[in-house]
Amino acid sequence: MKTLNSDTQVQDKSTNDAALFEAIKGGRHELLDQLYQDHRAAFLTYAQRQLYATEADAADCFQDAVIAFYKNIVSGRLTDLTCGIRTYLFAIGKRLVYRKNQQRHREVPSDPDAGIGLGNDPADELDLSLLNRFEDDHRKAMLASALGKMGDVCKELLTLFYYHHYPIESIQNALNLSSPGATRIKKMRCLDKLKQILTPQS
Amino acid sequence: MNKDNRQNRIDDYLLGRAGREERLEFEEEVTRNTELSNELAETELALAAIELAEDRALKTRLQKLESNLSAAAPDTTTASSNPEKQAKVVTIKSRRSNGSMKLFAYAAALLLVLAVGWWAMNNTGGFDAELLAMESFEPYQNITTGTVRGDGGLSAEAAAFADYDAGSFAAAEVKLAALATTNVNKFYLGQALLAQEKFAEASSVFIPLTQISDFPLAKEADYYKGLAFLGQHKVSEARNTLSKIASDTTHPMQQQAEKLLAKM
Repeated sequence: MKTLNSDTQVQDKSTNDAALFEAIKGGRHELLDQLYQDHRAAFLTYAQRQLYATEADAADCFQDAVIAFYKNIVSGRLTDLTCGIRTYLFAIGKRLVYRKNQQRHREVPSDPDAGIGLGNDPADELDLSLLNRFEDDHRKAMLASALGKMGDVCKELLTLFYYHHYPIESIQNALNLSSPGATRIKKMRCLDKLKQILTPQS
Repeated sequence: MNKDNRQNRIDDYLLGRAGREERLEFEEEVTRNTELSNELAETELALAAIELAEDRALKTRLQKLESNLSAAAPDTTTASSNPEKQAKVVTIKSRRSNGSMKLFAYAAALLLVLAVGWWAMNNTGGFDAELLAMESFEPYQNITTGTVRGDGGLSAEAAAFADYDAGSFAAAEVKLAALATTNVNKFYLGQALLAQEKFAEASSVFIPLTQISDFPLAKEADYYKGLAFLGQHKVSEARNTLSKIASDTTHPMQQQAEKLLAKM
């Protein structure tokens, strides 16, 4: 009887995973919240006990894992689910935790107040890497803020088309635009506007 | 070519909608056409901006969800403030006889010992058994002969192992199950089932294989049987299987079993 229950649970789990995967693939990105809630507690326990992550780091990495999972689906890199969603998320999350642990380990000696280890030489490779990261973050912030300078409809239209890979007809329905043609023209104008914000001379 | 068409081609290229030929043609044209090259660069920058902004929006959404979930987590400190959950002091009835109380005490102690023993045999010691099973699982390398690659008309066996090699385990499972029921085919069917976390089905495939003395992969099957047990939370069975493997220095999966036991 126990085996029968266990079989049923395994079956249910893979069926649920497949259904959730297909729904997300079909554009229901709001289901990421459910995905996060379903697997978050297990990952937090695992990352803290097995990978020595702090709770905050574990949660941060798991959020990034869910986003990476979603982006792999919409970009077409992940077309079929060949393992459980949890296995997939944990594999990404684990790599992110390792990277975070490594970063933390590397940042400690470069702390100028620490006065130990590699010292405060500005030419030190670790200090340069931190500087590079800061510059990269600055550029990222500049890029991310560009979309915020646009109107809500443009912002949503471009995001649905280029990020979530929605077809024009779905965008037309979602934004209540008059026709697919009008949606295409609107998309073109919005994109031109964004390009101008990013490279004003164009 | 008008501007709209040019932009559509750039979109198809960047969003991965273009076919292989179309991509090559486009890339070649970009090297010759400065205007197209500039527009491609500008679109790439715009896409990077959109991606970053939406990444951040998704991250913020999940962070908010996380803080709600953290806040909703049960707080053990509040239990004592709930009067209904507080312990009550009740009058203990006078003992009727010392003899019967002793018997009760022995029975209770025996029950406690049995419960602790059962717990020690079956508890997961704080690890997620299913996760640990998957963590430790690596599909066994395809060592079958007869897989023909680059052949237009693949045989059923070659097609099954092609899916297996590609990591398409759901498709491999279906095709392997349809093949002749040789021990080797069953072994790889078990692998495809494990890869999909179908632990119960995998263990029913591996168990008979471990009992065939002249099957060259019987020892390997035994290790995977241990993983399948673990995935089903049959921790004591998994420990027994893995301990036997870990203590056999000639076993091909001895190191893997040792590592897995250490994590348990």
